[in-house]
Amino acid sequence: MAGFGQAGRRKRPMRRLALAIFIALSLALLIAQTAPVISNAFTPVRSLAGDVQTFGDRREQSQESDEAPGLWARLTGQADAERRIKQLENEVAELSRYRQAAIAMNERFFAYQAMLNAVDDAPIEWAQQSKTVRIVAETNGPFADTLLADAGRRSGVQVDDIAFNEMGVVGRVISVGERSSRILMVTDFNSRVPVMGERSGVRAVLYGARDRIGRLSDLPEDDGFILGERILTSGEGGVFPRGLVAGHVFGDAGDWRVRFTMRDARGGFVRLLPPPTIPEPEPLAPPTIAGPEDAAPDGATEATVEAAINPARSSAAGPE
Amino acid sequence: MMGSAFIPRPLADAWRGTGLTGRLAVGLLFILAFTLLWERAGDVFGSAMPWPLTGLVAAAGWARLGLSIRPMATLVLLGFAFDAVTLAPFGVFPIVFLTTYAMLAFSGVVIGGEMDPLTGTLLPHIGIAAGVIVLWVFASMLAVGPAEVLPLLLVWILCSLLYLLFEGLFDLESAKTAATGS
Repeated sequence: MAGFGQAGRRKRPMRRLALAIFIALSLALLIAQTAPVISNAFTPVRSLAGDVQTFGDRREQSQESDEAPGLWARLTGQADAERRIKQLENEVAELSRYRQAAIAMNERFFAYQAMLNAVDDAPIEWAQQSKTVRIVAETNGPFADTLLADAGRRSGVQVDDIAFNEMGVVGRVISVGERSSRILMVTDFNSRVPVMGERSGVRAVLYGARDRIGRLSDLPEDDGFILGERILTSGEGGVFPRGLVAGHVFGDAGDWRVRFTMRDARGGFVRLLPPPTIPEPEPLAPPTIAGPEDAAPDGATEATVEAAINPARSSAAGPE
Repeated sequence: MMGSAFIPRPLADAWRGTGLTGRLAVGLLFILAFTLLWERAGDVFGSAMPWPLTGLVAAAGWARLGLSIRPMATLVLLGFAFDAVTLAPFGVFPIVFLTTYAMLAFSGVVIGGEMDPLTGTLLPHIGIAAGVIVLWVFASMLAVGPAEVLPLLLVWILCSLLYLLFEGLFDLESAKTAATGS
């Protein structure tokens, strides 16, 4: 058997030079493609190659063919990355539709609110006060289900701040240090969250249990939840704002349970919100009822009552 | 040439009379046709068959002649075709094929004289493996992490089998000998 390279030993320097030039040119081309302009210049060539590959193949028109990754893509993991990008793009497109719907609904919501002259219990300013904190430890001992967050008093965290993640309500801040805060989770037995069914509107109090499944107490006797409906915070008591998702209800009448949705969140972050503040009603001075002995003219009595009900307006009007 | 006993005499005579350029063209056409047919076979059977880097077979076969401009230029063109088809950055496969080709061509010079049969048989497969390793290095460098090894291992096995079967189609040495009359 003849050996490799035995036949053409003449003119070798020239051939070696040619080999070096070929390799150097290929390498230069490879490096030049780091510039997107040059890389994009080859797109028509690739398209042509794709056409040649799919010549006479009806599959080219299908989406499946478009997604078939090449050898290079499979080797470098590019195919997986592209598949993931495609998936996320689809997700974004889907979410964009929801966003549009949410914007439209928001507008209608404010319009209805203005028409009804309703007082909003969760104004936007209040929601914007939220802080995102990182969870550094989770204590699921026999005593308490708590989370330790890496932000405390210095960051403006206060006791009773509400913690929630992208999937739902997580709990409430029960103690605050300078740089840390402890959150009592809604899964804890000592936690009590006033909730309601999203569709049924049934009110109850949610508390945790050892099996991480929520229990509901204080239900009305003659009413029940709808199986699978979402359980939202009802906002009663003023500790938790209304409308935060707590979980989904399952079970049956008499033994309703809640699967907490906050467990589905993957990130180790929660957002903290100060609890909704409900201002105390201003003390109202009791109207003075004039006795018959110091009876005054009709106009004077009306002014006294008016002053009792609305002192600001009364003083602005001044003595007549 | 492998399987020459099964080739009809007129075809064998025609092959013997074919020059260097003709044999290069035949080799090139064979590679392109085989690659496209293989892809279709993968579609038909619906399995993820390893894609043969037939250019490595050509590089190993043509390297028997030693360094020559025309095979090198053909390998560069073939490399660009592979780059286009596999969506690799342009220049990767020319380098892979030329490296394989050069390594095998220079091995004859390094070893010197007539090779013993075992070395002559193993060397092309080692050369193909070297080409696959170069490809792995490029794939790993140009991607975020190391490239997958298993598909490349399958590619190497497939190319080695193809070389065993179609070695004769890439024989340029006899054309050169016939042309020079030696």
